[in-house]
Amino acid sequence: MDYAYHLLVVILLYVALTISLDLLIGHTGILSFGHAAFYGIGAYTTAILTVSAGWHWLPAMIAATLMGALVAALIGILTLRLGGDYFILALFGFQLIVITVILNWESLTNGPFGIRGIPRPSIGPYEVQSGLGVLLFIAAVTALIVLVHWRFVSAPMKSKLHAIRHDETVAMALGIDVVRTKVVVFALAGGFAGLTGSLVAFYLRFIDVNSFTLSTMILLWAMVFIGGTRSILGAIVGPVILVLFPEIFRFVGEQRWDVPNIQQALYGLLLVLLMLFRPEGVAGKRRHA
Amino acid sequence: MQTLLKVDGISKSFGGLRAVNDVSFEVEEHRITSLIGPNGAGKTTVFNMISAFLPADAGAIVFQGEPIHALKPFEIARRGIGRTFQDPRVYPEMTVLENVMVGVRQRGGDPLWALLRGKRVNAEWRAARTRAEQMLASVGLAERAADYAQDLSFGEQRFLSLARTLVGGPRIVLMDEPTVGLDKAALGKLMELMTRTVSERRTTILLIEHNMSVVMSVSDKIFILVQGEVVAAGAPQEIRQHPSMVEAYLGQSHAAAGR
Amino acid sequence: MLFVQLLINGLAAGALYALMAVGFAMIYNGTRILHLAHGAVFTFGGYVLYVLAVKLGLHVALAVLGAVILTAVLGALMEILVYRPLRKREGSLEALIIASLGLLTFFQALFALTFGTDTRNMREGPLPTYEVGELIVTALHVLVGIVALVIFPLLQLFLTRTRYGRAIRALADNPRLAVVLGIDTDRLYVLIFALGSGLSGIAVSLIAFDQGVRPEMGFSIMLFILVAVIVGGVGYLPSAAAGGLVLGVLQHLSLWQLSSRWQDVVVFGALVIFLVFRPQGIFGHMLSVRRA
Repeated sequence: MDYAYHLLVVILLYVALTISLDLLIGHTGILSFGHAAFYGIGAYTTAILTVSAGWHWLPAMIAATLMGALVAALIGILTLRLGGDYFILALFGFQLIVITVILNWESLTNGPFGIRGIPRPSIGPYEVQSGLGVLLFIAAVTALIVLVHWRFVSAPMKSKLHAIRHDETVAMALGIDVVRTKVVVFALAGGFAGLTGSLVAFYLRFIDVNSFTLSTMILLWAMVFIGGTRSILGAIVGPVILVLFPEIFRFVGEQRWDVPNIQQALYGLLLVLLMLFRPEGVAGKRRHA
Repeated sequence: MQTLLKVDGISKSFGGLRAVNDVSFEVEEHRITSLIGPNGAGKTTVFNMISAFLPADAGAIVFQGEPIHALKPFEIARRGIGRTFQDPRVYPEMTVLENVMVGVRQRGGDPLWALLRGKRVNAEWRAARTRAEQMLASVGLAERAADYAQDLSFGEQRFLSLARTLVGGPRIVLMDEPTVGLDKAALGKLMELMTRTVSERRTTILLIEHNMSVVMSVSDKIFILVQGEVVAAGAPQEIRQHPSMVEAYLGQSHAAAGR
Repeated sequence: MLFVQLLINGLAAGALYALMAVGFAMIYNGTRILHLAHGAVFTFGGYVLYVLAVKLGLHVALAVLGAVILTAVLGALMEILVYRPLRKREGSLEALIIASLGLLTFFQALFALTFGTDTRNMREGPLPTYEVGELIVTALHVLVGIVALVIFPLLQLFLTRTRYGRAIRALADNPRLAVVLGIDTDRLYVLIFALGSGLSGIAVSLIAFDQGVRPEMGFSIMLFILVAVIVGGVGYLPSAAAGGLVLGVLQHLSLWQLSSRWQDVVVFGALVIFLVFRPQGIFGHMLSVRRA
C-alpha cells in the first residue's frame, strides 16, 4: 500500500509541475526551459530554511513560493522582452546557472551532497508521518494549485493569453501590455513551481540537484505535450502515463536489461512520433483542419 | 476642424535605404484621410511609426496635442489609436465572438484581477460580451459569432479584424489596405462601414489604400506618398489631376488588364 | 608561461566549440530550426569513429572520413524524416523543439544500450606531445589548429563563391524571397543539414581520440554550444565561431587563477553577463525574433 501512496504522490507532484508549465507553454506560448530551476529553488529554499535556520514548515513553504515567483519575475523581466528563440536559449542557460550555483555555493546548499533531515510538516503536535497523511497533504496543496490555475485561466484571461501566444503584434495593437502579462504569468508559474519544490522537500526529506536537472525539464515538457496542452485533464494524463509507464518494467524487467535506457529510448521515440502524428497529445484539442 | 493626429517631419532609414523622408501631414477629426502611393512608397512604414512598432529616426508624432513617439505600441493603442493590418490576422482557433472580445479592455484581463475574480469582474465580462455582440451585428457577422475564425472567408475575416479593432472604441483607426481580397459586394459594405463609423461613432480614419475608386469615394483628404516623400495633398477633386494620381489610376488599370 | 599554455589549451578547446557552433548556427540561420539534436549527431559521429577505427581496425583517416560522411547523412535524415514533415504540417515551434529533444534523448539511450554507458577509448596511452620551449603541445592541439585553419576558410569560400553556398546565404537572409526566386528550399535544407552535421563529424574526430566516446558527450557539448551562440551571436557564422573560441579560452584561462571547480561558474557566469547586458552577443548578431 505504501508503494501505491508513493506513486500517487509522485503523480500529484508532477501534475502540479505540469499544470504550471502548461500555463507557460500551452496558454501563453512562453517556451520555458527553466521550470525545473524554479522547482529546485523552492525545494532548496524550504530545505535551507527548515534545516539550517530552523523555520516552521508553513512560513518556509510560503517563502519557497515567493522565492520561485520573485526569481521568475526577475528572469522574466530580463528575458521576456527578447524574441522567442532567444528566450528559449536564455532559459536553458538560466537552468544551467541555477544548477551550477547550487553545486558551488557549498556553504549554503551543501553542494553536490544535498540537504538532509528536512522535517515533515506538522499540525499542532501531529507530524504528518503516515503514507496516507502525506498523500492527503500533498493532494491538498496540489488541488490548491490546480484551482488557482483554473480560476486564473478562465475567460477573459484565456483569450488574452491565447492572443499573446498566437500573434503578439496584434495583441499589442489592441492595447494589451504583452510584456507585463507575460512577466506576471511567468511569476505565477514560478511561484507554483516553488511551492511544488517545497512539497518535494517535505516528502523526500532530502534533496539534491539531481531532481532539478535538464533531464527533469525534458520530462516535464514531455508530460505537457503527451497529455495535451491547455487542458487540466491533459495535465493529469501526462504525468500518469509517464510515471506509470516505467512501472510496467517492474513486472516485465529482467535483471540484465538496461531498463532506464530502454525507457529513455522508447520515450524519445514517443516524443518524435507524437509530434509527427498527434501533436495535440492525448487530451488536447485537435487543431481544426 | 480639429487636428487629431499630426505627423511632423518623420524619417526612417533601413540600412542605406531611406524609406521615409521628412514626411509631414495632419489628420483631421471625424474625417477620412487617405495615404496613397505606389508600392514601396513607405506608407506601411509610416503606420508602423505611428503605432510605434518602429522607432522614427527623426521627427515627431503628436496625438490630441501630446507627443506619442516615445510610447510603446500597447500604450499607443490604449491612448485610442487603433490599427488593422494588411492581413486580417484573426485568431484562427478562437471563435468570432472571442476574437472581438480580445479587443475589449476589462478588469478580468488584468492578471491580478483574474485571480481575485468577483462580481465586478463577471459583470464587466458580461458587458464586454454584449458590446462584442453589438459590434458583430454592426459589421454583419452576428450569425457567425460562434464559428471559429479560421472557418470564415477571407472577406469575413477582414470584417472580423475591423470589428475587433473598433470594439475598443478608438478615436482614430489606422487601416492598412482593407479592400484587399474583398469582392464587389463586400467593398460596398466596407465603404458603408467606414462612413458610418466616422459619422456614428465619431471615429477618425487614416487609410492606406490602392483601390482608387474607394479612395476617391470615401476620402475627405488625400496625401500622395512617392518614394518616402509627400508629393501632393488635397481633397479628392483637387488632387485628381495630379500626375502621381493619374499614374496611380493607370497603374491600377494596367494591373487589371494584365490579370 | 602557464598563461600561454592555458591559452593554447583554450584555443584548442575553443576551435572544437567553434566547429560545433558554426554547424549549429548554419542550420539555425538557414532553416530557423533550433536543432538541439545536433548533439546526437555529434555523439553518433563519435561512435562511428569508434566502430571504424577500433572495432574494424581501419586507418584513422578512413575512420574520420566515415564519421564525417555518416554524420552528414544522419543530419540529412533528421531533416527529411522529422523536421520536414513537421514543417509541411505547419508544426509549431514547440513541436519542433520537442521532436529535436526526442531525437536527442532517443539517440543517447540507443548508444548507451548498444555500446554501454562507459567511456570507450580510442587509443591506448596519452597522445604524442611536442615541447616548444616550456610549453607542451599535444598532437591534438596541432591537429585542431590545422583543421580550423583549413576548414573555416574553405567554408567561407563555399558560402561566398559557389552557387549552393550563395543560395544558402540567400535562404538565411530572406527565406520567402528565396522561395520566390525559385530556389528549391527542400533540397537546400537537406544540404544545410548535411553540411552542418558533417562539421560535427570533424569536431568529434578532434575530441574522440583524446577523451574517448560516451553516450552523454553530445548532450554536454550542446550546453556549451548554446552558451557559445549567446556569447558570440548567431546571425553570422564567424561570430558563432568566435563565440566558441572565446568560450574555450575563457574556460581554460579561468584555471590560471581559479581551481577547476570554478570553470563551470566562469562559463555560465559569462552567460549571465551576456544575457543581462548584451544579449545580442559580442558581435551584435541577435537570433531572429520569430514571433511578431
